[in-house]
Amino acid sequence: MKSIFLNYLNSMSSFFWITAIIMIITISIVVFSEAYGLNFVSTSFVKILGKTLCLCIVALAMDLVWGYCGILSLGHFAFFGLGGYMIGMWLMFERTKSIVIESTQNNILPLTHNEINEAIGTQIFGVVGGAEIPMIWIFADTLSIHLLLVLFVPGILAFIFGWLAFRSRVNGVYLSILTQAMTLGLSLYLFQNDSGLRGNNGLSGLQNIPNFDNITQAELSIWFLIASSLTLVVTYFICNLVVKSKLGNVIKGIRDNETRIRFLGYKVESYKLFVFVITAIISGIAGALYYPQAGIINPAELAPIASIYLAVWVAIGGRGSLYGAVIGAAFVSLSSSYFTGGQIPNIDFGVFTFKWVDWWVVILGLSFVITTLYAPKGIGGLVEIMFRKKQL
Amino acid sequence: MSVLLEVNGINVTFDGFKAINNLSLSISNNELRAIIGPNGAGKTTFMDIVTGKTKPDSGTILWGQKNSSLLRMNEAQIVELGISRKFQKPTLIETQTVFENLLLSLKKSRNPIATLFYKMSPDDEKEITNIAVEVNLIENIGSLAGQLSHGQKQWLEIGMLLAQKPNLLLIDEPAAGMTYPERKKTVNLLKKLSKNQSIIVVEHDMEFIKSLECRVTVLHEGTVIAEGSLDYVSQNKKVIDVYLGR
Amino acid sequence: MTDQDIDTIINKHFFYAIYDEKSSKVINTAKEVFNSINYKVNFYKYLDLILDGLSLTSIYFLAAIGLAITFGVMRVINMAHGEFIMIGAYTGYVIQLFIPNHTISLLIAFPLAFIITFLAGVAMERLVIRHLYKNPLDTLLATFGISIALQQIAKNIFGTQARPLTSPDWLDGALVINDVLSISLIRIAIFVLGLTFLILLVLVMNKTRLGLETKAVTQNPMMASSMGINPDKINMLTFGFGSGIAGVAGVAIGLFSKVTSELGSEYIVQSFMTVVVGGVGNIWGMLAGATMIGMLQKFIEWFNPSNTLAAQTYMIIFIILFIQFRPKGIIALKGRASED
Repeated sequence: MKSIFLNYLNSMSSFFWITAIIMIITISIVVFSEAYGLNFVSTSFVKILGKTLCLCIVALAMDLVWGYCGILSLGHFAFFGLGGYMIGMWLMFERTKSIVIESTQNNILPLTHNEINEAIGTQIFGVVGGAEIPMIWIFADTLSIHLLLVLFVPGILAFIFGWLAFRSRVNGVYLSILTQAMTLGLSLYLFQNDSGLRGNNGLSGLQNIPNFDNITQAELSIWFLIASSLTLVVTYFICNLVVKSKLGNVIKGIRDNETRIRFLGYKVESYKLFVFVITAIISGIAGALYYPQAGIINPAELAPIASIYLAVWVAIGGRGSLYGAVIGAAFVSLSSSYFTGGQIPNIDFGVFTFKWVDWWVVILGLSFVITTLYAPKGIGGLVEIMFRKKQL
Repeated sequence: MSVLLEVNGINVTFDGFKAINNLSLSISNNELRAIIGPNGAGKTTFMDIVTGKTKPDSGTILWGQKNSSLLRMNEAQIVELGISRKFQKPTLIETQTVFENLLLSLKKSRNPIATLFYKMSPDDEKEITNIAVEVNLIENIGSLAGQLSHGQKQWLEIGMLLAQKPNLLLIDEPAAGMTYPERKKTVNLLKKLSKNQSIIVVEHDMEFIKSLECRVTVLHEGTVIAEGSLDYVSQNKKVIDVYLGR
Repeated sequence: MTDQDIDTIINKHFFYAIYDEKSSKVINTAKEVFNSINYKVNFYKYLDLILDGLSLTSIYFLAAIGLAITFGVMRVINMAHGEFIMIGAYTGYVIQLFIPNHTISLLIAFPLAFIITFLAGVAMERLVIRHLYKNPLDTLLATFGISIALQQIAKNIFGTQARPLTSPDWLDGALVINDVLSISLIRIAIFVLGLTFLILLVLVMNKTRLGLETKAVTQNPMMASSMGINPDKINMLTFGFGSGIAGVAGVAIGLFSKVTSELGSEYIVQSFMTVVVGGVGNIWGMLAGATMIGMLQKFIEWFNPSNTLAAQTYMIIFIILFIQFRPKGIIALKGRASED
């Protein structure tokens, strides 16, 4: 009994720690920001932080499906991207619409509905040689519907794929390969010019929020930062509740001994599907927050390798521990930006100049190997060891 | 004595090898039955079939008063009917505690939403504690299952079966890896349990089988070659030839 | 009347030329000949399509055969397999830098690529994979780390521009059978190479001691080791062999594909799918998988010629659905020993 109670306390404490850290960071950034504060930090830095928080959210989802349930999905970034595409459609459509309307303000006759749509169509799809607005943009002028699509499109794709895969008891590496195939198929589809989503041009101008034209990017970046922080905290809270519940025991059991769980009467396929779909929806939400901050989304974002990087973050941070996933995502993605950003000076060995940009990926790859071999619990595992020492 | 499980004419072939050959047997309510036989006789495969892990090529398996066929059901459905299985190799969740393993086994809704919102009641806690006492694991109730000794793991698994309140327990080699006193405890436990549910025990340890004092079915090459008390089957010529030796 | 007026009147009138053939026999014969020409053309078109499909099949087969060996024997998914293909291709390029004669350079490149990637595979097995046998998912990830590292190193050494790997002149051009049906000589060469490897592999697996031991280790490692077969040695050699074949495949693929650091990623997902569809542990299954995927892709492309991306997408959807019905692949190992 004692150990259960202590576990619960411990887990809540990690939640409090993470929330505290995130709040401190967010508040200090606001204080130092260009828009609301002392102008110490640039808007682009604020955006990088905001995006990193979104990556932490999708890492939580990945940790839930892989670290806790044992399903190595190497396609979860596809759901992230789909969320981005869904919100991007509305953003791009509405913005183009307001540009069209504004630029024809001084026309003698106001434009008809059809003329407006034609103009929007040419603006958006001219780059892929079309002028008509494709079918899938039919609700693109309604924010509420596209907010729902952010949840539904990843959710439904996850449901169909998961149902097919789990029902046929595909497991282990086979499943991982199939998830790679899924995300490859999706990205290839999106690369086509007639996909209705502008092919490899993707959707752009997402940083401009319709109806908020008079708000500066500096201010918007802070709003998104706060939104991302809040979403991360809420997601963390929910994930914590899930893993500490009996459902959490079941899914950890599926990870560690699927046979036993099955023979205790649990429909393993239903549980896997449940986790797969929920984490897909969380990823979609994270994507919808991320891409307006990034400003642009294109099919390359959903390439198979993106989902593998997601696994890298969670592995290095610590799978099977929620704060580990958050730390991993933050640490690795921020380090990646830092080392490949060009600010850090190259090391000159005389005959050979070591350029960080060239070698960062190699270092990352090798760290990944080393982590998998020698520190399977990642950074989170190291933290745990430290904590255990303290408790002794 | 009504029939609980009726297995009739089951055949299973794996890649050309006939693992089960026209196997028929039946178990009554509250019966304790031992299944013995040489390696490869099909004892574990028999359990795989009853629990839905393997589908037979032909034959029928009927359950309970309503004579429901088990053939169309999946593993989880068969468990919900009231058939629980303990595996040859201890099959527990080693990374969770004894308490948590038992908690997962309690006869509660198996639905994901129900497990998400499940709150532990004092009754549940009591039930878990009682089972832990029953299988001699009350002192280790907070330990990780992986840290238990082999014999203790066997008991935990039996405890998990009990928590499911089954009508039929399938127990595969419970004595393996147990010390002599542990074996005695297990025999007593099984005898006690069979007063309220049916139990099929697969074992190799003849002493163990003898102390169970129950009906014995002998399998060989996928079919039943003898059935009766241990004394009776030990005198059967074929059984002596293939299994017990002279 | 002006010339213009004349032109206008002429343009307004339609002139018909009717060839009024009286004999129905001639008409029928003309129809027959027309139909048979059509028939022939279609026949050759289908043949052309099948040959294209076979060609793609042999490419996928070559790319995936090494993977099937490592996955079949050791249940190890080597995400860096694509990079071994890439290393092979770059080896070819480097050799051609020093030896301008295209034929001789290739004759050297093939075995050299095999040796280099064989050694790389052995190194990887000993340093990394050996420690992760219990954990196939971890192996997948660790080999992925190696994969991205290798890709980046290649980019650092060779740059981002595609490097040339040229086939010898006598392989240029095509075998033209008629107007509709022709196949480039290179593709014939690849097909021959694939066939050679298939025969080689079947011979090794079925006629040699090494093949026997490998099969034993695949089906039951514990039993095999208690019979005196050293699974460590077999694992090492097999992994090396599979990687070596990838290197050779790389030289071949580099002859018609662009040699860049990304060459590996182009083939890795396809290679995996070939192995997954074909079933693990069986060369014929692999061949069946490669054939199915290659032919299917060509047929889908034929229906929609302007869009190869769509073809690949449909392929992938097909494979995902296929796995529903045959989760263990076309030809799968059965029985308890192969349970994993």
